Amino acid sequence: MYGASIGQLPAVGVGLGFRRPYLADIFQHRESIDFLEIIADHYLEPSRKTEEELGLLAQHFTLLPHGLNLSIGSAEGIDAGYLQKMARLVRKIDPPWWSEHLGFTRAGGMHIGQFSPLPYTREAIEVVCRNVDRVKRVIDAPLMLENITYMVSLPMAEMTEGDFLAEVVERTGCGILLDVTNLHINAINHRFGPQDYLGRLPLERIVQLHFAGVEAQDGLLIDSHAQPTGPEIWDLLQTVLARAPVRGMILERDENLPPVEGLLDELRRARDMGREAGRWQ
Amino acid sequence: MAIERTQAFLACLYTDGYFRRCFFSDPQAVGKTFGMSEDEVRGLADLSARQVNFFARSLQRKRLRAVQKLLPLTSVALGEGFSRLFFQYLDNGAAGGINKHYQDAICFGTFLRQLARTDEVDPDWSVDLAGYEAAEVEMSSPSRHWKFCRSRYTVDALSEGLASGTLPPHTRALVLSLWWRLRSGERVRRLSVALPRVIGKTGVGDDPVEGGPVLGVGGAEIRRELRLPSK
Repeated sequence: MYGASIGQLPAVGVGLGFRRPYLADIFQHRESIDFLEIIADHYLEPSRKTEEELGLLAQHFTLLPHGLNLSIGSAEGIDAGYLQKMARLVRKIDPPWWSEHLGFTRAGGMHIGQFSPLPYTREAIEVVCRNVDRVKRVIDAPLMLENITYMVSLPMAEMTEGDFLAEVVERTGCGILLDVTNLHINAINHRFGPQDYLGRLPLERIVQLHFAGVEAQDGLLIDSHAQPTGPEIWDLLQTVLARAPVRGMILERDENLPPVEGLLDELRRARDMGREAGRWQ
Repeated sequence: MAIERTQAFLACLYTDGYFRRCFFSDPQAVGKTFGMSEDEVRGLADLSARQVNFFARSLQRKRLRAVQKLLPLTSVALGEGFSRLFFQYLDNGAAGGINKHYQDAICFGTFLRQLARTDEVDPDWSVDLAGYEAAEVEMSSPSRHWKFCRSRYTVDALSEGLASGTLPPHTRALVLSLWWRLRSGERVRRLSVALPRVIGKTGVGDDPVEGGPVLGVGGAEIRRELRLPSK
């Protein structure tokens, strides 16, 4: 039943990762922004001001919560308190879906502070499936799992990242939030072909895309979310849109914030791409 | 379960500089202390030190950027020294948890206070400014009801000066600050009282001031400076 609902999800168009400095701009240019992705963690223990902000956004936009600390790949299991808070948030805003990252942020009592790659092993797949089962018992809305960037290639891999993600979503019924920028970064840093990666995925499960600019640091690409989207990313977006029944795309920009018009231009370009691929009107 | 042990190991490797150095110089010895088999250690020994160090550094930079945003005036005051001191703080064992960045900001303020005793922090008043900003970070938690902070300098003047981009005039004085909210989620109020103490001329263009209590109230600021008649 969970898997069947993926095919019925609505097309939401092209939106922005919500960042507070753009609050006024977002309302001023409401017609150019189809939906917003909110960082769920900012609203799990909200102050009165944050509650008001959430209420205001929810009144005017479809909101998709994007979690940071569920740590769906943690072998020690899901944090019950965090899960309950996420469930409360999802119930409050009733999104068409929500998302988290396919990785782990917590282990052995330590919080790593960044998404860390899972070993691409059968044992890790079992861990993720078990955790997703627990999540689904508490949160009804469909869950999308995002591919992360990773600096460290874990040597105990039994399969490729693409195969790992494919098996996880097939077994759990989750959808895929394909971060195209992350795919490009990993492909360059770890020397594999993004087309090969896409070839391993059940494309019908790609529901949402993330895109952002990249930066180089010490000879490697990083997902700084601090630059305009580059040509390689636009090309990859076009490829994915042509092949996968994407319902929504989010532009991510966290640092080096430009005037909002720069972001709106990127949204327009993405929207046109999606329209040409028949993903939305 | 092997993966649970592996993940705990990796978490240590990514976040603990000393552990990382030890592992890459003697993987078997360190792996053994983690309860790993020789095969498991052999597998992990194939980890690229370059990749792991790059990731570890990126984690540190992320925490640094987050704390700079939470302690912006301290970051301005310390300049390049902020990142050097922050990485030193991380090497000494840093905060954890979901609200790690907030905890980092608070713990970094404490760390600077400890360092100040060894004169490693310049300018000296940045320590008090860090403590003041860290107190504001603590009070940003809606469930926190009160916070008391003691400063050696007139931190209000420091904050205002730095916020306006000028070298702040400041006085050495015992400043007691109290933040409070009556109910969870309510707006925070603050009261600062500077007790008079003249050490010498401080700040740019300041004459020594002998004054009475200076009241700073969060929200509508009320300042009363009582000047004593000259002798």
